[in-house]
Order: sequence, then structure tokens, then C-alpha cells
Amino acid sequence: MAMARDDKLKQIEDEAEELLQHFVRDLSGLPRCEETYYDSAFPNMVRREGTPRRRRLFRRLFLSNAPRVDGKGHILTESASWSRAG
Amino acid sequence: MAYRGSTTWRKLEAIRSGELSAVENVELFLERLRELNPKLNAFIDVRHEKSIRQARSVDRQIRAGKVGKLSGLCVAVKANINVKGFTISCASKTLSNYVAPYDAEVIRRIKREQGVIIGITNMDEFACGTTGCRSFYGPTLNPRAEGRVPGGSSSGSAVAVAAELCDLALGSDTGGSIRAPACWCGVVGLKPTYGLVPRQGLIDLAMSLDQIGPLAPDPYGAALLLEVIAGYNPGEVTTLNVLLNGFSSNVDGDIDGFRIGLAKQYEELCNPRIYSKVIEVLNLLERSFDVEVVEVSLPSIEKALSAYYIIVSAEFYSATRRFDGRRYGFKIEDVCLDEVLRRIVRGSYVTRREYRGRFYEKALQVRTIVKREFLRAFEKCDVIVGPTMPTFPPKLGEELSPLEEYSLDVFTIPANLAGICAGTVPIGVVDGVPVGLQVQAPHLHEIRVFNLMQAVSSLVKWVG
Repeated sequence: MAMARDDKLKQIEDEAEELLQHFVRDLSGLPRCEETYYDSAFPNMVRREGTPRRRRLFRRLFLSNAPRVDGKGHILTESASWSRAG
Repeated sequence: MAYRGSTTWRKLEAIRSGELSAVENVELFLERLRELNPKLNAFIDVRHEKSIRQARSVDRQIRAGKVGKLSGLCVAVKANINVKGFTISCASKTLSNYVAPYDAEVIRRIKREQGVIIGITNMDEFACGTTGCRSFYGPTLNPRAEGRVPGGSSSGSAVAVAAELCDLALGSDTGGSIRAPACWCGVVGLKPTYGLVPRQGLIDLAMSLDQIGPLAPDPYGAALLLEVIAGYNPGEVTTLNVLLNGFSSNVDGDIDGFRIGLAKQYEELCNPRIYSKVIEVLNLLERSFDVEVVEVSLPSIEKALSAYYIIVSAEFYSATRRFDGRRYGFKIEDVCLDEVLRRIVRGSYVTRREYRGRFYEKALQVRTIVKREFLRAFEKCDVIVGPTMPTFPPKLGEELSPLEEYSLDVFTIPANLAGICAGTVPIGVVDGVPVGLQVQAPHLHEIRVFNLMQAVSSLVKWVG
């Protein structure tokens, strides 16, 4: 199973490079101009001020999605497993 | 004056007049859903009691004289928009055990206007797909073109509307994900101007392109749902602070005086039978209204495709870094399907410092070029129309290479890159498959799109 996934990943990596080369070839020869990141010309940069609201139910619901939680409401994670590859 | 003959209008009137209660409405849909959903696979999370409870509350409010804009209409929601208490999985194993702890801003607005959430719809995993077949929960089936894909990524939402499993639906559109399935399922869909609808609570595919939008059986329904969800959200940096005059009350199909642009590049890229249907409808519009069809040019629409897939890969890679399986769900790379992995891998290349100028910057420059081309084209016309999709939907099980699948988006992507609004409306059936007309208008001119769609709907009698 793990082997099949590795083979698949290798195939996808090869395909990814090939596709990107295709895209780059397609975009070559176009005139240089400025870049557009977001379309909003006038972004709303200021959030409304107010007093923070504590939503106890939200915390409970959020923790119910966590893989492991201790009795004090902390999420328990395996940093070693998480940091492995990717 | 709003168009009063539509399916949505009649349903609203029935509920408001007491002829039909909100509870009866939801129960009718739930019964139909029990019968049809096992085959169509449009919904992936339905909670009967929750929906009925919400409908009861709407009935109480209506009896007390409080009538919201949606008044008990049932709304289906794509599985990438947070609805409290429902599993919002993005049709991926990654989030298959994630129950939303909050409502997205658009859902709060729908509930405030008495919309009833009927369930969560299937989609291509993390919105990565054009067919509706790339879901952890299996493919969605097209009720109006048997044996063919429904289109994606908002496949379940389009199918739910087409099969009359809901009144209205929400989808999200990054490069055509509302318009493609709406077109191939024969319903109305709209991608709003970027920034018109809040994205807070949407699990994003590409944050600079995504927009939540409506799918409906008719232009009036789409306008009504857009009216409810659109508008400034102070907590969100990309929403536009603009004055909105109401969409639904202005959908009257009055297009006299319109100059309708047709890009000359469309014909070459489109299946000739689909293109002929588009020309047929344009001729009909010219004969029936005081409109003029003018030729415009969008020379970079093919380049837009390549630029789009570079930008999407970069933004998707960034957006998915939080799916590490630590706080919720599973680590995405361990469990996702091929297309999602393909985009993540491509994104990791595109975002490397040494490749930045070669890929990402170039793609962002193309975005500027596409935007300028639209601005120039709109100097000559009020709307630009053309086919929504270049081909008929592929047959179920038909293998497409990634490039073949990406090229299906060639007509829808430019509107996302330019940030303008674009909708699709059914114009008939060719070989038993629905065909759609795409209507694009400048930023914040959704009403032009709705009115042209309404005019088309009044001329083309759709038999679903």
C-alpha cells in the first residue's frame, strides 16, 4: 500500500513538472506588465472595533473535532509524526 | 418589477400565503431526497430533524408576521462552506470527521432571512475538478444527461437544483465551479464579482479567485439568493463596501438597448454544435428585443488557462498547509485523491523562491493582461456572451488527462482572473445534453447578467 502510494507520488511529481513546463511554454513571449494579486482595488483594511466575545460553545465544538484532547481542554499532538515529510 | 412567473417566485408566494408551510416544503424535499439521492449522490450530509426544526421556527416567525426574503425556501450547501453541526468534509477523507463548529457568514445571512438548510452537497474533493467525479464519497450523477458527468466542482449543488431536491443551492466558483455544473445540468448559476460575497467560512481553494454564488432553477431564484448573501462584511479584508440596490426586485428581463458582445475567439475553441446553438439564441434575442450583437476580442483566453492553473496551485498549496491532521481531520497528503495531490505537488514547485519569477509572477502578469482585455471589450458592449462550456460533458468513467480536463474550463476561467461577474443560463438541449449560455458583465453589474438571463429564459422554453 505504502509502496503504491510512493509510486503514485513519483508519477504525480513527474507529471507536475511536465505540466508546469507546458504552462511556462504557453506563457512565453507575452509582454511584461505589472502583476495583479487581488482584484479588489480598495480592500477593507480596518476591522470594526469592539469587545471580544468569549464563545464557550465554540471551544467545545472545536475540541470535539480534535484527534486527542486532555481533561483540561488542551489538544494533544504528536510533533514527531507531524513533522515527518511534507 | 420582479419576474413573477418563476418557479422560485411561485414557491415563495405559496409559503407566504399559507398555502404551503415551511415544514411541508422541507418534508416534501426530504421525501424526494430519500427516493433519489441513493442514485444521484448529490447530498453527502442530511440531518432531517435539524432541517425540520429550522423550518418549524420559520413557520412560527411567518405566523407572527415576520417574513424574511427566503421565507422557508430550502437551500442546499456545497461541502466547503461551514454550516454549524454538519460535516463539512470538502468531499475529502481529510475532513471526513470534521463537524463545523460555526456558520459561515453567508449561512448566517441565509438563516437570518429564513432560508432552511436542507443538507450538504457532494463536490470534487477540495473543489479540484471539473467533472463532479473526484469525490471521496463517489461521483454525482447528472439527472438531465444520463450516463454523463454533471460537471464540477459544485456538482451536488447543481444536481440538487436540477433534480428538484431543494429550492436553491450555494456553490463556490474559482475557475468555473458553479457555471460548469449549472450548464451541464441545465440550471442557472452565477459567479459574483470578486469581493461582493463574503468568503469567511469558505474552505478555500484559491483565496484570490474563490467566490461563493447561487444556483437556482431560474434567474429570479439566483438573484434572490445573491441578494441575501451579498454585501460588505466588516471583518473581512476582501469584501467590497458598496451600496446594493436589490437584485431580485430588478430582474425583469428588460434588455432593450443592450449591446451584446461576442468574442471572436469562442468559435474556434468550441464544439460547432454548441456554438450553433449560441448563435441561434443570439439571433432570437436580436429579433425579439432592441439589442445589437457586436464582435469583441479576448485574445488571451487560452493563455488565461495556463496562468490560472499556476496561480491556483500556488494558492491551494498555501491553503492546504493547515490540513496537517494535528487539530482536526487527517493529514491531507496521506489521504487525498490524485488531483488534489497533483495540485499540492505543483504548488510546492511554483512557490519555491528560485522559480517565482518563472511561474507565479508571469501568471500574475497574465491576470493583468486578461483584466485589461475585458475592460477594453466592455467599452464596446454591456455584456459579453458565449458558450459556457466548450464541449458536451464527458461520459461517466471516461478517462481524461489532466490537461484535457483543465481545458474544459477555458471559457469560465477568464472571468475569475478578471474578477468580473458571470452567469450561465440554459438555452436548450443538443443530443439530449443541456447547453448553457455564459453571460459576463463588468464588476458589480450582476443585474445586467440577471436581466439577460431572464430575457433568454423567457424566449427559450426549457424542458428539463
